[in-house]
Amino acid sequence: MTYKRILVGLDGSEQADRAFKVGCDLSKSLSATLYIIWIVNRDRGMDSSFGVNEDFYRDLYNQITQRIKPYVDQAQAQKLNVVSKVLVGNIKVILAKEFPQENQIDLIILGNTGINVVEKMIQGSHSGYVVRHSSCDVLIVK
Amino acid sequence: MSSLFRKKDINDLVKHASPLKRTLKTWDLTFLGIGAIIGTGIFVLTGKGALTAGPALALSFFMAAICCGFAGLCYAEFASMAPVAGSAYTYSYIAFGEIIAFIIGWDLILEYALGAATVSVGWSGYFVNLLSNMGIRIPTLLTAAIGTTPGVNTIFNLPAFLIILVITWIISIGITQTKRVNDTMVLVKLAVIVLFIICTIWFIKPQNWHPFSPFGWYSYHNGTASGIIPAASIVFFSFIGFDAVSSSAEETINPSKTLPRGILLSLLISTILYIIMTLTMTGVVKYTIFIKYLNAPILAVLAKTGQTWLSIIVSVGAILGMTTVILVQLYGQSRISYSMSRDGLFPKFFGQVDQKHQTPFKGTWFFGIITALASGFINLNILSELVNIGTLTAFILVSAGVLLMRRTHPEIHRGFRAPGVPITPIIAIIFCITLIAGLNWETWLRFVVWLAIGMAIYFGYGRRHATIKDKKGE
Repeated sequence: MTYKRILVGLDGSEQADRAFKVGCDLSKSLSATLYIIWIVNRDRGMDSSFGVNEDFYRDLYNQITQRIKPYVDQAQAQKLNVVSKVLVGNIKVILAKEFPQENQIDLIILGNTGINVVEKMIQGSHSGYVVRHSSCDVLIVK
Repeated sequence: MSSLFRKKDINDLVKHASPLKRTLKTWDLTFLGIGAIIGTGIFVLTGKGALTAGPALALSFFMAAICCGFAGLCYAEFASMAPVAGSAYTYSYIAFGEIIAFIIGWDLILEYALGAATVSVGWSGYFVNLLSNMGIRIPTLLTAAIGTTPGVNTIFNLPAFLIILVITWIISIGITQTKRVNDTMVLVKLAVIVLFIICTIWFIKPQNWHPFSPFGWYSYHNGTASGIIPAASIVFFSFIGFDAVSSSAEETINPSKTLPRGILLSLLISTILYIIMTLTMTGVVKYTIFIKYLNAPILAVLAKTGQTWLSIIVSVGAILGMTTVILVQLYGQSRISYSMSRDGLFPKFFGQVDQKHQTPFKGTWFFGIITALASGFINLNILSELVNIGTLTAFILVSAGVLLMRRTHPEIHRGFRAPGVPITPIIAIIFCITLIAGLNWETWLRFVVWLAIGMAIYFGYGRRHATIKDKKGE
């Protein structure tokens, strides 16, 4: 089978940018649709009284809506069929489950996040989570 | 003068609607609410509450819950007036103008900083007990702030100080919990409470319940306010966080029915648990004993029943539960100061977002260190009273806002309308004022000083640096 809908997760890191390039190349050669998403991580467990966290998520969302535009332009310049989306929510769940299921994604491409051992202990690796929990193929770009 | 009340334009806010899906149902909200409520006061403040009201503390919990129910309905309407998610601070910037928004933000900073400090003091109480069960002793001097327990010489609460710093560090580099971790924490907290009740209810001696209400509704005893109302003012803290439910109007299916149900159900379930728990605690141990266990009251009961194994389980559960609460409080702390800095009411320092971690790194550390010092040096008696007065004031302003907006702007779309306006907000205000009145006058004084500092910052800095453009040009 060939991949028809390819998803790339962005986060502003170099690794994610490399994943984006791989995604563009693959979509081109397979003439697949390229989905690029950038997620503002919103942790439900951190919700507290008077909704004080909401402003922060909104601001990040607005900034990222701007920052994702160059990627869309770049993909369109290569005449790719591209869909972009900025989402607010649990980064792991959206990448591994929700978005791929709703959009019938058949390949997820992610950068290997450059976090150190301590951060990995606290946050857990996003790419590792997606590899374990996603029901479609995952490609990790090093 | 009018510039004090300059307002944000709602259109700036709705320009980008954030894509939140309506997925939450009544039980999701209830679970969310219970998760936010349980884990703070019940592990820490039942001791001080029992000393203040005796076994009638059960009634104090009931009273605080009623106050929260009415205030929660008002806040839900307030939060749903703007069609996008935002904080109470941002909404009040739109609805009432700058100075009220500043006061609400300043109150919330007090709530979160001292809330985290209060919980960390309790955390330390259970942690020290756990260590001593394992045979490790920390010098008594370093286990509590000065003057926590009469007759015991203590200087500094080292465990509380350290846990705040560790959690500050975690928050500053960002944290991603999965839903499963969150749900597990809620279940652990519930399980610990239910297990505690099941194992100790058999040791109740009804004579401990006499006199049931030694200090009546309100009296003055040994120089402090005592009785059911003052105790309610203290245990109000046990419900803080319940309005996390109110801010989910946007994500709720059919909010006008689901929201009140979610609020009331989560309050009802946690209140029932609280009441059974306090009746058990005051039934097993004479309420006066709690003076020796101020930081970790549940351990007073388990010392009496001799269930060391249970005290280990409860300590572990309480420590886990309280760790998440400290996380939430410090997280909120950094975000509210971020919002105020973004609007120019605070220096830019607090609003700088670290690009790698996507967190307001510097502001998190600034308030983290101050909170850590507060938890190390200030004793629980002072902390626990001061934390509630800020929250209660914020609820009074919000409830008054609902009343006012129904008059001045009846046309604005409301995703959720509080039932029984104007009665509901009026009752909410009356309850909040009653609970404030139940606090000691020293607390009012400290709060007035806090507000005065806030006003000095506002008039000295915020008012001139606010990024909002004054349309009239002054």
